[in-house]
Amino acid sequence: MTTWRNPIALRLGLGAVLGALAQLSALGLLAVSAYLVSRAWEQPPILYLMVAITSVRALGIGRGVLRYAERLVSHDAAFRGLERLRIAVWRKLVRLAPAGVPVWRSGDLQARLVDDVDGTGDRWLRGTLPLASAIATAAVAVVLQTAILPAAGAVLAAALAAAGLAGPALASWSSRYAVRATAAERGDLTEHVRACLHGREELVAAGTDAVALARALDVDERLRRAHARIAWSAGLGQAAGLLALAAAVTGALWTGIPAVAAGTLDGVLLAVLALVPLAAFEPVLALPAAAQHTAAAKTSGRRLLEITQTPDPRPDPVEPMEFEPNPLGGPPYIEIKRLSVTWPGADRPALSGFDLKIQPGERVAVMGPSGSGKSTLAAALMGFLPYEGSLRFGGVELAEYDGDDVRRTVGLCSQDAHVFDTTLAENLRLARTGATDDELVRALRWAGLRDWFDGLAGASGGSVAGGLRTRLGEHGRAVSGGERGRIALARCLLADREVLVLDEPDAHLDAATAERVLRTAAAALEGKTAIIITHRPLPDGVVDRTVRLEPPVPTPRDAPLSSLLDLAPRG
Amino acid sequence: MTQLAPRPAALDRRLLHRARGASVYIGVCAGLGLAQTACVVAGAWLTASLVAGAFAGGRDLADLGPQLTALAAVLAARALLASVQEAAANRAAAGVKSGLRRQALEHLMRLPSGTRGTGETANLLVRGVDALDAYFARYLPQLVLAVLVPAAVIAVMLAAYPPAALIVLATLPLIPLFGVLIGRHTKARAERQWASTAALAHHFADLVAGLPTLKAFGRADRQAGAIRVTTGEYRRRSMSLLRVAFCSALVLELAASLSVAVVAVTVGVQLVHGGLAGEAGLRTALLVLILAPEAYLPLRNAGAHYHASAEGLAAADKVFAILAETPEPGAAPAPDAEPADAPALAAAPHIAPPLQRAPTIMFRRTVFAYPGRDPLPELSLTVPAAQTTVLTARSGAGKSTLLAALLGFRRPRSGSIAFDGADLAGLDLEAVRRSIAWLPQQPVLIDGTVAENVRLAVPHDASDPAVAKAIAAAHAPDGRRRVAANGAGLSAGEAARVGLARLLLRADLLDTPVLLLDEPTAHLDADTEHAVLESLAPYREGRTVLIASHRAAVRAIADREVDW
Repeated sequence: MTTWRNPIALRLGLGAVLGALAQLSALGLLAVSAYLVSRAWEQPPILYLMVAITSVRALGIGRGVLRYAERLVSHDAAFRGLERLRIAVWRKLVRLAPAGVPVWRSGDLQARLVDDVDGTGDRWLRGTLPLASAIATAAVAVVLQTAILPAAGAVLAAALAAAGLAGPALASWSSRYAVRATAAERGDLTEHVRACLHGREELVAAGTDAVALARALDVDERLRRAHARIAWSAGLGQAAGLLALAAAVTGALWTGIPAVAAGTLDGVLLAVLALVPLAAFEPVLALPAAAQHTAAAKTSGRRLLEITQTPDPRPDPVEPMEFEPNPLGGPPYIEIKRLSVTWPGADRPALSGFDLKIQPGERVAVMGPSGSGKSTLAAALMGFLPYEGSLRFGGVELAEYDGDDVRRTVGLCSQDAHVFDTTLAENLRLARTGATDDELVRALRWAGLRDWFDGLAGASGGSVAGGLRTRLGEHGRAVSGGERGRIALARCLLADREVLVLDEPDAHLDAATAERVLRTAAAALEGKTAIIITHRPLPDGVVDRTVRLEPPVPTPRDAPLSSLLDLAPRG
Repeated sequence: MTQLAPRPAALDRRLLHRARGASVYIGVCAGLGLAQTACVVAGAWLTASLVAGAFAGGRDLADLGPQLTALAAVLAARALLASVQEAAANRAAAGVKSGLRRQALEHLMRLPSGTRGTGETANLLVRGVDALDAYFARYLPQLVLAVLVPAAVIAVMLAAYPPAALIVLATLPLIPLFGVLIGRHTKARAERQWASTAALAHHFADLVAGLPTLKAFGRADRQAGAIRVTTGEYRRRSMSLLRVAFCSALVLELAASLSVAVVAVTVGVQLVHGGLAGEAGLRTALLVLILAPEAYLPLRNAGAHYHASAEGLAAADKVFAILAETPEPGAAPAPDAEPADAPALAAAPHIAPPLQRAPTIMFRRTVFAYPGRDPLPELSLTVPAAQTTVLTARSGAGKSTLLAALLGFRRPRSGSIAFDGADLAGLDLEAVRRSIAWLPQQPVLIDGTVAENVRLAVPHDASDPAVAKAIAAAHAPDGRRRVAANGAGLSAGEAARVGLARLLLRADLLDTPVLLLDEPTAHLDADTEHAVLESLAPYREGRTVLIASHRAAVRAIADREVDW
């Protein structure tokens, strides 16, 4: 909430005031009505009642109108806050991507992040605001009751406090209890359902789908029993609030009736005393639900805070060097010496002691088994990660440059390049905004997608523009894995960077297709520097030379004894 | 945020009809609702008569004690009933949720695979459906009370002081009336808005997923502006909709508070003029004053719980969408299938026995197509009987599709598939499946031991020695080892060998004349690959074997290689 600056805070404050006033109108309506009826029974001249009659009418209208205004003001504020939060989270994520947080490792985490941002908007509307108006109403009710009869005020205060504390506490205990008591069954059932769905065809083919289904249904039955077993606990919070209300009403009469009999309390006010608790409890009885919204929103907020407080993996220098690694134009000279790179949170480098010199316009393959730090090298070259040792572009350390400047010269086509849920053309134009249709088609051809694109264009009546308008679906689901990878490759080629890092460009391709694609891509990259990361040898002529990358040697701490002995000085 | 989704009216009814135990619950709900209504009326009457007794009757606690005790008891009973109500609701919800999950899962096993995410669907069935608790425990009971309480209040008022009853009777219908009017006015806009909420969340999720890519192209910072514009536009449209939508709540609140005000004033004026004299008069006046707001309370509560119940209903809606999907052709009928399905069954080909000997399999000019994709090229291919054929075509050429087609899971768009000249489309699918042992690329693993997993090869119980033999031949892990349903505890290579053991067991016990293997050695090192292929050799004798693989060692055992 502290990140939401003034205009929004003001609107939220106004919403809270309007909400409290609406509840107070309800309280006033009931109190004045009770007074009106009691006083009228004494049959005074009707003139004496005019003030009460007028206020009853005003309060009756006020409550509805105030509540309507409160809803509009607070929703508007919540929308604005959400807008601001979304942008703030986005800006932070931009600095963190892709090394800083594990969000990009799974779709589940991404979905949760998006939900968390939306969830915090709920906190104010359904958590804080009801709490604020409940407290305001309760305070005014206690003051009013105390003014009429101090003992009744004390009873009401105690009952409200009990309901306000015990209700939400019991409600959140019972929901935690329910989650805990069924966690094992829910986890089991999720896995069983997943297995049934994943293996459906295999099971049906073997005639054993019923067996797997029966096992899943057994777990479901266990879950049903667990749910039924804990059902009793669900209503406790609600019951606690209603019990406190019972105590408050009974207590008001129990203190009020003797006071009337003793003449210390005007009998006209006894009805007010009995009815004030009803109005005072209305917002308090809603607190268990509000507390649950707050708890859920807090969890969301905590997870967002974790992200916003993560330090930037590679902060840009305060005064970056002017990026001009090759004053003559064209690709820069790249010199890597004893390069060591550690991912944030990892306890050992993923790449260490790596040396490489690349002449402008050279094409180099970096080959190594999985775990040798190939993708780490790519991330370091993009300025995504901090490093130790030396990584120079045109004689200047990469760390001295602004990351965005680096990425205007270095491009990366990674294994997990994202294909956006939009058209083929828009996906490609990410790389170059003003690219013409012809340029897009040429890039597709370079990436070995000529036949594929001709098929698309053919399907849309032979028009190139129509083919480019093809939508690629969520995460590129409308195309195959191999096509997705080549679309990403085409995009990188279109970007026309002086240095291009290709991370396993042949990952989802069979040997023949891979060779064809690598050859056309190599031709398109003539004159540029290319670093091709691969785990198998590339076809002849694609690169000028191949360097091998071995997994980093374990640090001495983790190394077996024998290797420690090797490191010890000899002789 | 505020739920703008329109709720399909039929959903609630479907939910209550399909779910077993729901009708009993509605009965319990009504019974408890009646008891709570009685408490509300009794509480109001006792409060009114206590105040009137002390103020107008001049009596002290000594006289009024029993009434005060009764009031405490009635109010406490109301609290207890609310708690019992919620417990009963959660018990009932447990049964309804389980029923929905069962139906959905049984139906899902008959729907074509690959059209939905398995993780997402599992989450929907377990966590998503759980959210129905709020609907059953909070929303439904308030709806029941929203019928019972106003009726009781009006009845009591009619007996005590008819003008007050008329006021409630005049205002109460305004609420649903305005609700319907406003709902009709905003419906189309709300639907559009709901679609744009979903689109907005989807767009943001897509951007987050692709952020590393955007950053690589230097486009990430610029997106912040785009997010601001779309979100701001969304807020303006939402607010203009909410200004109208909140009017129904405004009518409800106004009706509730104005009717209290009008009752108070009417009764007050009546009292001043001596219309309701004496202790009884005051008691009546207070009774109607206390009861008036109670008539509107359940409706207001139901509105407040609407939001909490929306999540569960959205999940239920998705489950119903699954239940409405048409099963895969050839799928077994549902256990509770309508009798109307019977003629279709009778028209199906008669049950043929499994294929007796190794068949020749022929693909004649078959074309396979996936929705939204280019069809795969036309293919004609003969797999000779009792020989081992290895498919070496490039990735994406449709090797797995061919294997799945033989099992009837993919239908060619054109062309035909024949076993010994008999068209697959005319054969009994179950019999064909009984004649085939198939090892898919990623064999399924269920929670249990390796042996239990291997037993999934055949519908009946396999003997221990047979299972042990298959495990040994496939070089699979120890039969007693535990496997979690997500495959935890096994490496990819071990999982592949569990799948292979399954294939061998099925070949042994059912003597299937056809073996289909999809990348059987993809995750194995050269030594294991060799050993596994060695074990496979005796099983290949006299069987038609079709293997999809690029591996040199696999190609070495082929009688024939096919590429296209």
